[in-house]
Amino acid sequence: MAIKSGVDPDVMTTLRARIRSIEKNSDGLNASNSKASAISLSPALDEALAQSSGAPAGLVQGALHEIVGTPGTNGAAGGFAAALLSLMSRSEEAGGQGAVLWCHRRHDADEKGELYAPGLAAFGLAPAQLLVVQARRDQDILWALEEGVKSSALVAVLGEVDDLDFTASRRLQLAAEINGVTVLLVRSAGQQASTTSAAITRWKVEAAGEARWHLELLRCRGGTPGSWAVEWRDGRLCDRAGQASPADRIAADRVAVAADLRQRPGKPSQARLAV
Amino acid sequence: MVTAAHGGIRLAAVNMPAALRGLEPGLTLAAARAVIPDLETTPTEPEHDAKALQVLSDWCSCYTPWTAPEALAEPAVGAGVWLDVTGCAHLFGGEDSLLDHLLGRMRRQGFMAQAAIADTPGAAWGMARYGRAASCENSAEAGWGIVSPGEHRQVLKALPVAALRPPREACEGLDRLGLRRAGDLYDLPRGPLAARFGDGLLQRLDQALGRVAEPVSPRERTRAHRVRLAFPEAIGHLDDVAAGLARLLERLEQRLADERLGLRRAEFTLYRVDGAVSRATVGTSRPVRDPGHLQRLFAERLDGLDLGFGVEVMTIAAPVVEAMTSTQLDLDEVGGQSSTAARREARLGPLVDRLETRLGRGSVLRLEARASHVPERAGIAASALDGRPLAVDAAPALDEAPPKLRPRPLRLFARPRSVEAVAEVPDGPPVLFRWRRVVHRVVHAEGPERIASEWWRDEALPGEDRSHLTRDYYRIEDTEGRRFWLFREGLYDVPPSPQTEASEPIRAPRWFLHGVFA
Repeated sequence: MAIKSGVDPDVMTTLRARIRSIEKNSDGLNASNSKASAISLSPALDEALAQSSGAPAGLVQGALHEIVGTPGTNGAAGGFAAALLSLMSRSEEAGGQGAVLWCHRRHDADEKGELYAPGLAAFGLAPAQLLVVQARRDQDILWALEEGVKSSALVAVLGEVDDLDFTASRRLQLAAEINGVTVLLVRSAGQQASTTSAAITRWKVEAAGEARWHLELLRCRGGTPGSWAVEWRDGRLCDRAGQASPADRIAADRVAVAADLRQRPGKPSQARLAV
Repeated sequence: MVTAAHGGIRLAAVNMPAALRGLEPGLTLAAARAVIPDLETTPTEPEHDAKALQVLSDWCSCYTPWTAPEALAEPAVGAGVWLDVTGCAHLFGGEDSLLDHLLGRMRRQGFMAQAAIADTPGAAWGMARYGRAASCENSAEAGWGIVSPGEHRQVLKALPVAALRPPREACEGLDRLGLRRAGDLYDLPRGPLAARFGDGLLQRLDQALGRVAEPVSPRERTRAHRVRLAFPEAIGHLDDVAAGLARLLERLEQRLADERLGLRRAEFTLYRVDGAVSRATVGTSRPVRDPGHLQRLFAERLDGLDLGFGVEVMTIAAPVVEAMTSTQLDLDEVGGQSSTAARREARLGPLVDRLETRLGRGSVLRLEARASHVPERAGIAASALDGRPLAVDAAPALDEAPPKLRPRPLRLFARPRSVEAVAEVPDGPPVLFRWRRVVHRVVHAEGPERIASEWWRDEALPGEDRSHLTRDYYRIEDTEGRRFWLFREGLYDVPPSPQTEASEPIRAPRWFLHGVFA
């Protein structure tokens, strides 16, 4: 039986067109993807992250974002990530209390400390909204992240990983995009220079006091890199111009506590006590 | 088979050719060698025998969920497995075809087996071992016998006394008296019999005749929710096993749905041709009966299953079930917060199950705030599967919103880390501290926040040192803006505990790092 050597050119062109359309649809963000929503961070950050006209301003949801910390022990990168998770889980799309997944390696808990419910609550992340996965290896974390993205039960997933090749990040990015779930990768500084990734944005976070960070946007598809000082106050991110003195900070804390107590319904006696 | 018994090495079991030449268990090895000089012997391995018997007992549970291996007491009479086939026989087409099937399988596995069914365990025991010798109308040549209901007294009558499982001394004593048949004992006065041979003999007699109940504990607790699938030919492919599992799960769902139950744990059991059993178990975070979800959970486990030479029967059982109302969540459109939370939990369930099945038990956690002001007890981790806290002695759950405390760190060390710190004044905050060979210079310090122990609790946390309990916490910021939670242990200037001798020098305060702020 003779094998047909030539292929119908029409078939080839239609196939090529289909491949192009598939590639276009899966290629990260584009203006045609109108479903992509974004989380507003703070005025200055939103401006830098602004996409082409039409797309909403802010951190794009349903995408992979990378957060790089500084070497040594510090909670800055984790804190900024917790702030982002909190914003996403309380967004309107998530119905005000979406669930998030936080994956880390078991032995990292010894090095960095274990996630602490009262500390997370300060960022507006209630324990009930959070699922913590302790895995043994990076591969397990990546698997858990992907599983979380596909489960339709979560708004966002976060993984603390060191080793990540481009293929793995691309896989996560695609899964995030298809399912509309945001993936945050928190990485320590050592590895970030050596690897490329498919992440939409890459942030570098340095500590600058309590719930204050010095942010550097190293890379952003469609946005402008830059650096800012931000802080977490009253459940949202705020731009910060100058350096506040510790005394101011303590005073601000006290006011915040008093205000909070006053707002508590049905507990007038406590409010009086606190003031 | 030989074993070292009292009075030297004795035969424990003999094979057929040796038995034909007059050897029998209990003979000394020297005597045996006199009969057959080139007798081959191997030592007995009771532990292996017991293990093999357990495996066999598990395998037999494809006939009835209620099986138990018999204690290996007398090697001479052979080991046995109890099966309670009450209400099971009709599934195999009657008692005789059940026994036929069972013995056929056992022979194919290489066991020499005999079996009997009777009203009482004792009668079945005797029939299985001595029934062949007795001339009863059942097919003795096939190696099994069935005692019709109510006839055990009649049938046992002709069997030797040993069929009653009497104690060894009693058996020998009866033999000397010429009482060789079980029936000989029926009409003897009980008093002298008990006085002479002990209560054991009478008890065994009564048990065999059904005058006294003889409870036998099953090896595995019987599962109420269990479905079974038998194959005409043994299957050896994982795909086929998965397909069989899917059918079982559908039937189990039907059973559970009828009773409005959902399972929290599922046991998948494979009965192999070679007489062994393979098992896979999965747990779920909330009641489940969806076959698709369970199938995905088991998919993680199937690769690890040993199919041996093939699988004949598979069962799935739900040992832990809970009430489950399936449609409640979807119909509940009213209600604000609570229903949103309930829906979130419902969707998280399958994810938790999958993560936990793949990553291992205790990998998926929920954090919880608890009612305690000791930092390590105020925030704990609990298993997402069953909500059990990981800590041994967890504080009670909060019954209202958590109190507004001073800021707490994002990460807390389960055990405070010892650091070297230098303070300007003894009871002031540190000016620098060193941790993991890195010196942190302190720029700002807030505190102290004094946290004392919970003296009303009886037990200390594991590793907790009760002698210095008061801690002064400081929030510390170093030159690079990183913030830490340090505490100084014990009160300054005061002996750490009342037990300490006054003459003992006061120890320098120790500093610990307990947490890292965001």
